[in-house]
Amino acid sequence: MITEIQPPSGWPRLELGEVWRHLQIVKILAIRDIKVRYKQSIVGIGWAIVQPLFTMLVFVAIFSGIVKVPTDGVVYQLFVMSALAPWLYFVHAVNTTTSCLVANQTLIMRVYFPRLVFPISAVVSGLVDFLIAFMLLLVMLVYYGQAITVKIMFLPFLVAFSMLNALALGLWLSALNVQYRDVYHALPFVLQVLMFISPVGYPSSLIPEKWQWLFLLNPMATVINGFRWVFLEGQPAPGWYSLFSVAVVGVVLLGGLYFFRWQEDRFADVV
Amino acid sequence: MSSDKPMIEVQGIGKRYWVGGLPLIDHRGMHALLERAIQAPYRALSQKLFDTKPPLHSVSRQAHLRWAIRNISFNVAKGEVLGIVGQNGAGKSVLLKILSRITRPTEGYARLQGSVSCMLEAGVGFHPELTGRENIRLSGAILGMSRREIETRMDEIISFAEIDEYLDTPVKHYSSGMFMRLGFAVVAHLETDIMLIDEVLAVGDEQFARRCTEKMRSVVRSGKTILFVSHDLDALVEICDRAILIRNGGIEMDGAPDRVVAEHKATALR
Repeated sequence: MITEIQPPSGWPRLELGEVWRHLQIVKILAIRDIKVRYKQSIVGIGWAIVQPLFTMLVFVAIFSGIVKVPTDGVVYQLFVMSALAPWLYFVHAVNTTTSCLVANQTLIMRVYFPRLVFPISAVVSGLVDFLIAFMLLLVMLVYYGQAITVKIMFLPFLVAFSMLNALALGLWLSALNVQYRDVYHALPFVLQVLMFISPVGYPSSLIPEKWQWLFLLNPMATVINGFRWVFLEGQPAPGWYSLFSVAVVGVVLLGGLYFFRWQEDRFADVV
Repeated sequence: MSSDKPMIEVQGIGKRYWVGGLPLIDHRGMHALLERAIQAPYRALSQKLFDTKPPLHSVSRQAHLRWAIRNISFNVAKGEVLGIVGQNGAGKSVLLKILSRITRPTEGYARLQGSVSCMLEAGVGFHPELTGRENIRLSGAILGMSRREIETRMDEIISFAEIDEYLDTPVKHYSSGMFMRLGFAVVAHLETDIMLIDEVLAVGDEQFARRCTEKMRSVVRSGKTILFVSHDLDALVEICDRAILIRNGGIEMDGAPDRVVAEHKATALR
């Protein structure tokens, strides 16, 4: 094994093979984050149920109680929960990924391994909370008498797509956050706006036909529509417009990888 | 042995930092441009509203760039133990950070042959909420041990750290001495061809410090190539085969440890 050390020059190389060789560290950091997340709290892992449950109740009160939002014949509780499961995962994953480099700054200054390990493990560690919210969704589906069909085989793709989406954004934001903590302060606001332009509380069909293409460029709209189509009866399948959102994630992800690698050399000096 | 390629080869390594409160400027200058663009409207507005003076642009870029180290070149042969001495801020740690790939040099070239581990601190990667055992696994993995290596050395590490009864207690409840002992125990059981060590010997009470030095000696005897930064000059003379003195970011002297340490003491007192 030979290590060569030189000043950074030219176009950064992705070296994803090196990241793959450090999969053990991805795993152990994800396990650390999962173990530590709900330490020293009374409700503990129960927070992973309380958060989606109460968010759902708020949505039900507003969008079903006060504003009567159409749901194409589905109970509103189910309609919103099938969106909240992936959405809350996405928000959580983007948040933890954005702050992952700053949160691990002592590690960054003391030991070397590919820095991509941090955002990847942050995206992975959020899956535990997702799994719990997903169980909640399953229980509700059974309670409201929704049959689970073979369409569930699309679920892994939808989850993987949400992960890649969170990672794509997180790569940009975490690298920027190392130098500009403004990112950290702007993020809650940005995520809130994103929620309003995603079909979390309302169906995509409320958007006028001529704006559908723009609305569906948002990858999370694809994920949410996908979830509803998989789990709820009578919901429309995501249209071919959604393919554009796949392209969006592809571009943002690739750009994010290069941006991250480009900035990586400076993390230890700047963080 | 001398015909072998050196295990560590360092040629003209230099690292330049941006110092001062102004935005860090990349050598590509991108960030400065971005920041200036974002701040421009505020600056114009605040100048109008509060009649503040425009900031001085006469401070040149060069004035903010400092070479932490420059023109550092040396080789370390297989099995050699090289000590690095120098006053605080001379650039010893920057050199170690470059060789361990934590940060990249501004110029120069270095080549390391074989697996490398760096010990810049005892307890790297420890998380206060996790137990002693969990932290051994965490820190070990982060420092590059495989899972099997960690499990086979677990007992050794535990007995070395003398924390048997607190093994399943979160380390935030440890005394600082226990914490340091556990941290040292993990790094002391790393098995790599090249080890970059910074100051980890100075841990715990006298008795434990003695055992650390003892452990270090056995590591040295095992034929590893070691780069060793320390302010404990006696230990350094005893352990090292050769030493270099770094002063103001450059190599001042390269030779026998006792002579280098003597020179370092003489210049430090001046």
